[in-house]
Amino acid sequence: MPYQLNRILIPVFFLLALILLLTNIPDKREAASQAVNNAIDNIQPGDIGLDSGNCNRINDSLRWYKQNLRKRLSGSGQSFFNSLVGYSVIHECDTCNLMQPFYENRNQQVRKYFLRIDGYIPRQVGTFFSRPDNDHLNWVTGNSDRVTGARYTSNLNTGNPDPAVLIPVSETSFKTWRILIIVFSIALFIFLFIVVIRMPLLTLYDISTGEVFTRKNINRLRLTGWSLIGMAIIPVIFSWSIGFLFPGWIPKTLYFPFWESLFDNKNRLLAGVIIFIIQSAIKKGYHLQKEQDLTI
Amino acid sequence: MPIVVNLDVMLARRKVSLTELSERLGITIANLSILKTGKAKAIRFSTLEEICKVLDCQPGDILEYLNDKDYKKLMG
Repeated sequence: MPYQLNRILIPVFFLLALILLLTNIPDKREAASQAVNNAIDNIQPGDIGLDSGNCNRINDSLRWYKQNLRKRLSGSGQSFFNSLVGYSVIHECDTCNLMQPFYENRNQQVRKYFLRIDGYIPRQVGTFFSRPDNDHLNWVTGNSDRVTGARYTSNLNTGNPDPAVLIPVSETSFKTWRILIIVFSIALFIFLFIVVIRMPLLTLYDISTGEVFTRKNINRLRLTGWSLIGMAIIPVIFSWSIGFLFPGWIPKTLYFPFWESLFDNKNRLLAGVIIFIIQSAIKKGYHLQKEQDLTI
Repeated sequence: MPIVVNLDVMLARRKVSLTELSERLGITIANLSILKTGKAKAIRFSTLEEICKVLDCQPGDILEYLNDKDYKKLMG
């Protein structure tokens, strides 16, 4: 990385981390999940000035949306997610009795395979689900979601936000994707273990033995700093860019809360910047030491 | 850096070896070698004083400034 670029990027990341630390970004994600659960589906024509036909459409849509979500999540399946991408297998059952235990409906279940991208939440959820008296009332229809082929999942049973977009794939390609994702995750884990845990420990050990200002320490800390900044920014950019580059994969009713997601990663960003400050001090010390060594 | 160290020239003129100079100055041969080959970043006044005393010369006899063109020509 050229020195000039470092001089621009590191202060930018530092300011970004500082802004994220000092601002309290309202997190809509939990509200989104709860609002889906508490969605009003009994709008009367007199309530919002709509005719009965439109009210019925909205009520049907809301009812469909809620029931559909419940049914699609009624079965458990294998699921895996690293910070970038994951997969899910869902046992769907549109005709099952949801009051019965899961295993009793086994014959009626259909396995469906998905790639999973996390972080997306329903758009305009505040006006749509919890305050249907707004002038800009919209509604979700089952068809629009079926056309895009992607779905929104949220843990409705516990009310905890677990928003993710599921992109349907065939069983054959799912097997390939699953291997790729697992191999990638293991490689990522090993890389992060080395860079974020082992390298700082080795640096601390070197410092304790008196080898402070060395080229090795500078390179290690640089890699650790960039990795921490990458861990903060790359997952957010990745999920956001999927919606930007492949809009067809994401239902129109969902969007990616960029700043809220970045806010979650502010500690990694700040840790990365602090590592860079230490790295800069060691780098300066290294140059001074070198100059001292070459003074006769 | 277009400052040339003419230590080897002065050593030859005074017929003093690098080892002997090293012993008389109390500086290691490795450090004197760094100075002689022009790899040194700086020289202390105390070191310069000692070298001048041992070789009976002036600082200007040891250090010489060349312009960029001449320096590049000298260094090849």
